[in-house]
Amino acid sequence: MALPNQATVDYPSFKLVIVGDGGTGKTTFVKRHLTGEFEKKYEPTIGVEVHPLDFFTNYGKIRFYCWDTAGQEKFGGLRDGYYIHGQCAIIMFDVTARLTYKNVPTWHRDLCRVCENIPIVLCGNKVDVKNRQVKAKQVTFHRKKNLQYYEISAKSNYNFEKPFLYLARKLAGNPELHFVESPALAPPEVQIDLAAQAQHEAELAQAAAQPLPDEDDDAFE
Amino acid sequence: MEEDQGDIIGKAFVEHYYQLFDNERPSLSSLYQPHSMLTFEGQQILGVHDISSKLQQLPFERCRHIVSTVDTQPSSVPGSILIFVSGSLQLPEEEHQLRFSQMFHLVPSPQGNLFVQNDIFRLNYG
Repeated sequence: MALPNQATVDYPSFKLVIVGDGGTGKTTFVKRHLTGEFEKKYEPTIGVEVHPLDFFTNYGKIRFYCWDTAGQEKFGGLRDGYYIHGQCAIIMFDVTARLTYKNVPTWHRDLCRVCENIPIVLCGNKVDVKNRQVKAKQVTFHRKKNLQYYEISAKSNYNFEKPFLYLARKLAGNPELHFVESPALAPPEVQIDLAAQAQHEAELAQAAAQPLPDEDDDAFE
Repeated sequence: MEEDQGDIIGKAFVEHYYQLFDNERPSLSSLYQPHSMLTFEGQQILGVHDISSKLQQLPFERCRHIVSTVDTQPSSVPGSILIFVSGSLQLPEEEHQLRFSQMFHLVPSPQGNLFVQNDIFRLNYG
C-alpha cells in the first residue's frame, strides 16, 4: 500500500511490513535498493517511511511498498496502523545480538494479531560479523511457525533478493516465478566470508533435518 | 500569582528533566520515589527502581528532546503541579524526529522538595 502522496503503479504491488528490534538493520536493508531509496516517502503522522521496491520477474514487474519505522520500536510495540493491510512481512533480528532473536516471538505475535495468514520471512542479519551470538542451528522459531528463514548481510548485499523472491512466489501462488534481472543495489560496504557462510548454511540445512528441540513453545535459551 | 509560580517551576523542571534524560539518564532516578508511577508507551511501571531500569534499558544512548509546549496546572495536593509537555525527539541514527507527549504530576515530599508522583509518556503517531 502506497502513501497518499506516493505514486501508484499499474503492475502488482503489495504492502510489506518490516518489524524487529531497533538496531537490527531494517533501515539499512531497505536502503540497499537504490530506486526504492530515491522514491521513498515519509509520512510523519504515522511515523513511517515507505520505500517502493521494484523487482523484475519472468511474469513482469512486482512492487513491494516496504514500510519502515522511524525508530518507534525502540520504545515498545508498534501501533496497529503500521500493520493494517500488510500483505507480507519480514521479521528481522541481528545474529550478533541474542536479545533481538529472543524478541522475535513477540514481533511475530504482534504482526499476526493484525495480519492473519500472510507470508512471512524471518531474516537473521549481520552474518558478515565474525562474532555471532546466534548460530545458524539455534534458529528454530521459523520451523515452529512455518516461516521462511534466510541469513542475510545487508551491508554486503548477501541474500538481499531472497526474502523478496520467497514473498513474490507466495503472493503470486507460483513457485515457478523467478527474478530475471537484478535491481540496482548500493555497492557492498563489507565483504562476506563466503566459505564460512557456506558452512553456516550447511549447519542450517542439517538442523532443519533434526526434530525440533522439545522446549517451551517460544523460549530461546 | 500562584499559577505563575507553578508555571515557572514546571518549565524549569521540564528543562532539567530532559537535560538529564538526554545527557545523564541514570541521574533521573533522583526525581522519582518508591511509590512513583510511570506509564511508558502503555507499559505501567511502579517505583523508582523499576522506572530507573526501564529508562536505562532503552536501546539508544543519547537522544535529544526538543520541547514545543509546556502547560501547567496546580493540582489538589498543596504545592503539587500537573505538567503536560509536547515536543519531538531526535534519536541517534534515525533520520526523522518522533513526536511525543508527556505528563508529569509533581508532588512535594515530606522534606519539601518536588518529586515525580505520576509520569505518562506517549509517542504521537498513527
